[in-house]
Amino acid sequence: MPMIGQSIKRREDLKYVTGSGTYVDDITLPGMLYAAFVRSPHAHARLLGVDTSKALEHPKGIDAVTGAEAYPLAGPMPVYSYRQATAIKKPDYRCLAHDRVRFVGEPVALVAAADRYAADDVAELVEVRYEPLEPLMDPDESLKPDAPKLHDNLDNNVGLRIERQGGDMEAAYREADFVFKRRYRMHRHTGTPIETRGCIAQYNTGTKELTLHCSTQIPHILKTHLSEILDFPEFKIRVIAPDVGGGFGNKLQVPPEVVAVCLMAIKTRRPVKWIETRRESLMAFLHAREQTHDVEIPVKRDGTILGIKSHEIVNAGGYLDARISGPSLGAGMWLPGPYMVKGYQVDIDAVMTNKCPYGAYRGFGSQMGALVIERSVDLIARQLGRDPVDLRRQNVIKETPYKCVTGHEFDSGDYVAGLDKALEMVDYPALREEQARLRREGRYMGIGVAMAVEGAGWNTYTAAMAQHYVPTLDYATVTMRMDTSGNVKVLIGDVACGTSHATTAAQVAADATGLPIETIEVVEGDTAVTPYDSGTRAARFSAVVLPAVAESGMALKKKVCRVGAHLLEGSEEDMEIVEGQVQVRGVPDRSLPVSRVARVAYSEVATLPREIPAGLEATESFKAPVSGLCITWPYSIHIPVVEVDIETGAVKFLRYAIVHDCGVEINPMVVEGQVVGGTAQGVGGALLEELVYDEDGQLLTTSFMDYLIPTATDMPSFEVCHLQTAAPQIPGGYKGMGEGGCVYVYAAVVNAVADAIEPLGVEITSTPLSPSRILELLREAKGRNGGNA
Amino acid sequence: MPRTVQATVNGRKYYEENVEPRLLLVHFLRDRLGLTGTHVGCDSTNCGACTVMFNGKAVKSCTLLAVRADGAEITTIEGVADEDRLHPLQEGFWEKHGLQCGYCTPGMIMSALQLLERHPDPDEATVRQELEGNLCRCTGYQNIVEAVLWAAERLKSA
Repeated sequence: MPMIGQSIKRREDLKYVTGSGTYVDDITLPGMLYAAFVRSPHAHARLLGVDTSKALEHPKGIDAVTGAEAYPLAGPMPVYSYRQATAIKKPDYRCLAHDRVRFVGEPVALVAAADRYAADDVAELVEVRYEPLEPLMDPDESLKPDAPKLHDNLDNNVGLRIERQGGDMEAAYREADFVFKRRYRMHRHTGTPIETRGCIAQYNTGTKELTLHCSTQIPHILKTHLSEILDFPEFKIRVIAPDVGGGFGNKLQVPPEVVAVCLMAIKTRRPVKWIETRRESLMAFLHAREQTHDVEIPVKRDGTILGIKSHEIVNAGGYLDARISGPSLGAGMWLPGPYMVKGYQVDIDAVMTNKCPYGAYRGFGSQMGALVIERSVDLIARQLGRDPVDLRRQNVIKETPYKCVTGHEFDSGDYVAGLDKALEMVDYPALREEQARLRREGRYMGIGVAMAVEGAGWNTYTAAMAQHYVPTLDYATVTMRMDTSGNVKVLIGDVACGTSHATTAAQVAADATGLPIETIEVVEGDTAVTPYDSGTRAARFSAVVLPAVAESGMALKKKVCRVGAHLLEGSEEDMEIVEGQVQVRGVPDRSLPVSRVARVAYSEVATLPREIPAGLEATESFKAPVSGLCITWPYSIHIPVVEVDIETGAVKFLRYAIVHDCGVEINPMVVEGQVVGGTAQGVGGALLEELVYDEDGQLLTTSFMDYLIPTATDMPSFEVCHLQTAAPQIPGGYKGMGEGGCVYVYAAVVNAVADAIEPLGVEITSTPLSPSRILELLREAKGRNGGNA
Repeated sequence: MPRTVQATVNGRKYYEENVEPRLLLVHFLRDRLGLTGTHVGCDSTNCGACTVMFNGKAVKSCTLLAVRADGAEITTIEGVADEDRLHPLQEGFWEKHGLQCGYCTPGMIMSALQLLERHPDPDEATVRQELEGNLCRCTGYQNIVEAVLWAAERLKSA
């Protein structure tokens, strides 16, 4: 029975349900010190001096590193340049601030102490003198010609500018009967994995090796960057990602703090552990999502959407994170949605402010592109007196493959069928009747529809391109090693962070080799034993890594068959592996256990002909077959049904239907878990979570008491329908899907809430839709209508 | 003044000297006793990753001082299974894909243990209500609810 397609139970779960997982804070090394950071209490200030003498007088205060000390030892943090970026300037971003601080929570110094609690005591004794400066919190302020420059080496406060266009936007304007214009804003929030950041750095004076245990999604890329930043030989660095308690793209970061901890380990010659507190995490781990789009959409009176143009402003924060261009571009590239537009243009400015740096978070900007176009479709439908579904049906791409004006070729799928299926799941006409009935009772039910095509797997970052843009393709390399008893380890260079790799990779490996899945185990996360890999990012595992698993498995199988053919005196081509036996095809009588073959290949090499190599191991690579920005194109349709309580502003989910197509599913249970989980995360983002700064640049939401991530009672039961259109260019037909729900959910939920309270004269163009924000919108509408809501 | 803490954890006796009065129970369990299955997620009693059974009650061990544990009976995730036989809740989380990264799972299971003591036959709304103090960022809770309902069934028929 093939393993691909089976919802088998996860092979990683036993350790987790028994408390035997090993996250970074579960590791203790002999002689280990604990580190704590001294962080800036100011959003913007000149750093006048850092004095660690009192801290080092503390009996448990072992050592300290300041920004001044770190400056010559650690180079700038990386920033990736895309070819698309017409201008990218790099603020001098160091692991510890040395001249100015540019956001509340920016690390200024690091201390090491004998234990966890003492580290905090010692950090408190570090004396820092600041000269506060006026903070810039709003990109509009930063862009004013007379605004102070946040970085001396930049011309102004624009950190990154990208201009993209495609198709014929002029024709779109020419043919239009009117131009729809709006300003959309998404608020700042982020992934908040329940496990915060953390690492243990260890320097061996005898081998000159630096070993880093780190909660990261990118062990190999992190190693490459550390080598550059610390000017340390890459082959002397080993990064080990243990179990990772959630990543969501946030842990693609190259954390400045980790660089500083490495410096401390080298300095003290002792292992140094740093575990971030939640408060630190909310202040100084990556923030995400905050963007503004000024949009123009030329439309014909008959409802034809002709094009989309946007000026996108990203609030990049005090420094540019390495991946700043990703979520910036991600939003811009998704603006045309799944619609047949003629032209598209986006001008992106990532603007420096005094907020926490802005980086990757599940969806990588695409949820903003989807929100802009999907909200606009609803508003245009309203303006034309059309049903929003009807307008979608008119404009949606009818056939694939389809070359989008962004240059992307949407590879496969039937978007109309997906839409129809979702409408059928909720019985759309009946819902509209129900809505009308409830409105007569003074109840406000809303139906949100959103659809999008999502790029899964990005052809970027395969080389850690810190300095220059290099056109590249994504790829994965996988090694499969059979041991002397016929069991197999699959060595993969990325790391699971809840993403079920140990199960799905074993399923693919079992089918590729013909070996029982019980004899296969997956090893990830350790750069010393796994092939180079660009990490767990961009939903690339199934689209890029698993095809490499299959290639490597087939190569291993061939080697096993070769030895088996010799032992069975058959020809290699006639061999097959069935349930752990190598046999002559169709002749089970002429067979040997794989374990016997393995024994011979390792231990009885003298009995093999010279041309058969010893051992059983295969390494194969898979290169992305598509050269554009993205590799596969899953799509989805979300229809949430909500009721808004206009007294309290609370949003209650009545239903939530999802149709999605990620190609061939390896493990449908895992797929559904990802789809539902991603959607839930976006529900939190759309309705509850917000990182709020006051005008002085103080972050007001520094714990989970203020930053509200959704609880079990906030969540609906999601209904999921799986379509499976094989990806034409990926062997196996898989598409990426891990970002999935988080792309579509914002647009869908915002459309649902907007649909609910639209009769009260409310128009929604920004998030979050927290109860207080909804009440504010209702009050504003009431004011506009002279009290007649 | 450092104190001595003697406690029964997962049925075994522990005796620890020099326990700082400010040491949190969760760090006592993790750093002193080596029971690292209990996790820290928020430091402010919101996320529930650190939930343990303390004298028969599910508590968040990040808001309890270790010195309070002197004489206490504590069960952590490491003590939930009966030797190699998983508790139905552990089985349920596995069976129903009630976890992804696994970080919240121990605390979630400890809270669910208490939930099933209070409500042996819960409905979905009760499960959601009772687990409100435990945050999961991966699953959207749907399969966690399924897992607890599955375990409740299993325990009833046992």
